[in-house]
Amino acid sequence: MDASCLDYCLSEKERLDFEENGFFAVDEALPLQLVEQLTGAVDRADAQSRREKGLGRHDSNLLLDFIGKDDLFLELLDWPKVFPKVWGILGWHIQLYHSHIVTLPPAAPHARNLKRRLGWHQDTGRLNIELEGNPRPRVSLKVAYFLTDTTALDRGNFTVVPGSHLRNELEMPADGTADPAGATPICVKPGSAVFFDRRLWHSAGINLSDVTRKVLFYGYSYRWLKPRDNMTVSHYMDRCDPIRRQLLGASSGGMGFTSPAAEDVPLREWIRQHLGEEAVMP
Amino acid sequence: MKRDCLAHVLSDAERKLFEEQGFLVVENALSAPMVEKLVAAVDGLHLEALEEGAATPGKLWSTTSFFDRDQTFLDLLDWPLILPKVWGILGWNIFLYHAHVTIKPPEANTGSGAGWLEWHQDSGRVNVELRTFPAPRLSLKVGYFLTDVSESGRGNFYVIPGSHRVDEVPLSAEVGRDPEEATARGLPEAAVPVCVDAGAAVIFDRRLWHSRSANHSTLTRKVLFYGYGYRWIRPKDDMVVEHLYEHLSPIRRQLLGDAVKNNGRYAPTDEDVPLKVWLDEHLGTAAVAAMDRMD
Repeated sequence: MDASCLDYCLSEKERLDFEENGFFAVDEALPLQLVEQLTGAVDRADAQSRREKGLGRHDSNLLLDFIGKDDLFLELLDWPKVFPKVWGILGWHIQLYHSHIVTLPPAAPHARNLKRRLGWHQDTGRLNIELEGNPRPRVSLKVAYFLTDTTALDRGNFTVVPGSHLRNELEMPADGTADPAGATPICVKPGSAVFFDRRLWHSAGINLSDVTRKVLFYGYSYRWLKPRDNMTVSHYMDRCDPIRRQLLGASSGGMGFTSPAAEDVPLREWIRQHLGEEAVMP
Repeated sequence: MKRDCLAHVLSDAERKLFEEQGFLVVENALSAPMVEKLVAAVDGLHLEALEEGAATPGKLWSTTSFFDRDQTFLDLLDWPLILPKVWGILGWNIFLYHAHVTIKPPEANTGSGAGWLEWHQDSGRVNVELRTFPAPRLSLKVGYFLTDVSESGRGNFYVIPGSHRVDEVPLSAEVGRDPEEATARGLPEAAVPVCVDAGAAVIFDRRLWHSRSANHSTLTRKVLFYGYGYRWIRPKDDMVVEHLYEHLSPIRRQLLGDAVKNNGRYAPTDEDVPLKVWLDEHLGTAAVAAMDRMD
């Protein structure tokens, strides 16, 4: 990992935004040329997945475990403009626990005028039942790389309720169709990265445009969390540096996931060398 | 799993005690013949380790991944007197994330109190990385005592009752971080030895501050620890168990970490969680759904 990434450490404003709102956006996280290349890789993986699942042209597709499907996807794992902010929030004891692509084509004609509520949820399923506390702890976050221009409001925008990561329950309007108070669509250009807390109530919007919305989601968590998908990455391990291997789930053994030795967490040593002892406490 | 185990579900009094104290003692969890069988199985493992040089005579010894060594170890996975209490506390989305046997032979009383373990909560970094207070439970352990530790001084399990819900435990500075250096001089005021007969099970919360203590008796203390946690946490030890799956019942497979799909650890459907299917059948779906709202 190149030390030039230290130019992109989490700023105090970003930290505050994340603590208070549960998300923030970073514009121009990816250069447009890379966005184009990634779009090609996404289109290939998506087309194959759609054939296998028999999806129609208006159906959205949730493609799990894409990280191993193209070398380009591996490059984003420790992307210099993004990754320092991930460890800035979660610390050094982290891994990729989950990756998924969502492609959201234009809504079918009959669905365009339907009045319906978006699919509001927090991430990680039963953690939202099985972890006690109000609010529950963070445990993980996702970085969403937008490959599509969603600066207009009709593009199936990623929609959030700012600050809702601190609320276990989200009150919904009684009419059954309206979205919750505070629902805010996020408008970002292609190449933007949106960081969001696992607990933030969020949903994809409805895509009323004629453009398919394409987003890559990278989920980072503490290393003691089980991967949510199959993490098909063994073919990468030999050519990865130690930090990437950590992020892809390598460990000296089961014990190393809760009581890590130095060899289990090369990211800690890297941060210590570049930013000092305080940066890796506790 | 037999329906009879429902006679041993967690009572309201036990739940209250567990919530308040962070641990629960179940006397006579194992019959005398069962204790004998387990002692023989544990002694077999220990003897083998001694022969291989993996254990030293007269020294503390611990091992993991022993499930293919004796059927009795598998029988404890869903032990009828205990598993109903485990699901009563954690719910049905659980597996065995960690299991170890620990043997503590008698040691010379040097006067310094050596032989203590540092005081700790279980699960290492989890205690740093879960930032809400009190941190969530996540897992618990069942300690099956195979030795009579009804008197103190026998290498008893020590706990600080109620310490699973306090932020900072006022531990004495003399308690060393290195187990080799830990001594009885650092014994916190509120600490108590858990004194139980052979065959008792002690169920304790991951967050409860606890410690091993010195064994100045003539008995070798033998304990089996079975740690149950949610299916979305990683195993704590290597849990070499996959080769056993084909011979196990669906519930035991779940408990030993089998999964139809990884997503099913987070968003399980019935095929992922045979324990839930069994509970739905025997307790009713309404009662099982209510378990999700206990907290």
